[in-house]
Amino acid sequence: MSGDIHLLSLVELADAIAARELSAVEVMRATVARAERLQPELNCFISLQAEAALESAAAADAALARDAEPGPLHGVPLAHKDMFYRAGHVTTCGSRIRRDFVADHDSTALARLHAAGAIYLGGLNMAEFATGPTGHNEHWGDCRNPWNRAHISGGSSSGSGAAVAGRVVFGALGSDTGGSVRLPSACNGVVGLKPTNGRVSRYGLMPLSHTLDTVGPLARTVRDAARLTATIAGHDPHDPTSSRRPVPDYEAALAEGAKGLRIGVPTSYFYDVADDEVRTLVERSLDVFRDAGVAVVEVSVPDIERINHLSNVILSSEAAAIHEPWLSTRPEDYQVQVRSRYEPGLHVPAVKYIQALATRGGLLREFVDTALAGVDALHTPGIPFPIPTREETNVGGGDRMAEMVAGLSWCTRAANYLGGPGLIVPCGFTGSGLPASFQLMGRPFSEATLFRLGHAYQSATDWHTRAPDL
Amino acid sequence: MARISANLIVAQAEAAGRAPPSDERTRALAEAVGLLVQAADEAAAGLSFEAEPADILTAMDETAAP
Repeated sequence: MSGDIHLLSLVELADAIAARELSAVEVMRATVARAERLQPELNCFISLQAEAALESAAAADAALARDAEPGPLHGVPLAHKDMFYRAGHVTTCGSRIRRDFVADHDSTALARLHAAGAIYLGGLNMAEFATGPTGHNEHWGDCRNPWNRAHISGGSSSGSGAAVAGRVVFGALGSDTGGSVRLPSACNGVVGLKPTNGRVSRYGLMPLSHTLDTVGPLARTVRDAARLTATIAGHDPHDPTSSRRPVPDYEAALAEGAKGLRIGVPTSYFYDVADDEVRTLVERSLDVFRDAGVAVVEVSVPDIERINHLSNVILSSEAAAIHEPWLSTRPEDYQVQVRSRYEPGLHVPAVKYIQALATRGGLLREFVDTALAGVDALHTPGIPFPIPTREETNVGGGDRMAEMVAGLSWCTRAANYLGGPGLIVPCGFTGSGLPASFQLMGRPFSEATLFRLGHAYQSATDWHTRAPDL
Repeated sequence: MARISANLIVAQAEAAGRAPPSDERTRALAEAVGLLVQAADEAAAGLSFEAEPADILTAMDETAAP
């Protein structure tokens, strides 16, 4: 079995370790070997902490030998976007500025994974300070797409997407401020959840935008994502914005199936820039839902561009506030395109920022009353066109570069402003051999419903079982 | 376009104790901020600004999945 360990899903692996069918050390040795072999090709890791991970795996096996009750992630190797703090360890945030930054406290999300038995393997590559949808990074090198190294891995949680898709690790956390979990999930063909704002604590996460930031998992299957989300969700006294709502048993909810649920297909905006090939693949996924007993109906949606413009004001202002000291003292240490994203925020009138905050509640009500009226989820493309190359989305990438980069997050940005969850599920491959995906958007705290729908889709299809040849 | 001038960019930088950007960068920033603010103005047209920013939490509770 050890030769195929990397092909197991997170849940399959955790269950095999708990049943003593695999040892945590055996798993970690195979994982480290694969990570080291693929690092030159994919550049997923900023730091790979093999020795400490192997020690933790030995401790995990010793605990089972003492008949300790295993947690839901006992012995499972995970790695995460390199912006989750670990006390006493460097967290680079994909930047030069924080190349040597040592945190003095642990991220709550990582602490909860650790308490569930997961083992930290390393910090994953990312866009500098979580800014950028492509995965380019001049400081640490571009992360590359395991399906085709010439193509983008997506951003900003680029290493998380590539490492999970490349079967290097069994799951990973990312952060999502406008699509940064969902875009690398879509680019690499894995499942990714942007949870409801407040569902997962952000304590110990380097912020980009206090209003829009969320923490979510990237995983190979919806069931894996459900287990990871259940582990990290819930109120945290260290994060006053975290919700006190009880966390449902997401994995148990999967057994309810999707029959009788209703999906809305938007009649405007989301397909406005969609490529025909992607549209066809995304629309085919609706047939799978119909066959599973899900009703599919058309719905109108409010003005999403309005939401995106207001969201931009919040993101610009809050990112500038966070980065203002470094923008003043170390501007040359940013990539030019990242600094260019922050600097306008230094000059946005406070009035506009406050207006953009004040309108969120009303626009959420409008969105739910229209797009989600009578349906359980809105079904959209993940990325509305085939995954582009690194060259055509890089600085100097040609006439369509700006349009393409902006278009990547066409379908994802609104969810962060509105606050509800968004789930990416892969649904096939375009002619270039890169993944395509759909997104399910829901009401606040409807993660369980999105997981039910996504799991029903994956129960009837096998896209999620396909792995790149590495 | 919203009236964000190069002079305003320079004045704000100086008032905040930052070195003013280069002339070229100042012009680019003025244009970028102008577009951002104009888009926000158009997006917010007709909306009420009386709600507390924390109204989003109320709205999330009201609209949450059962």
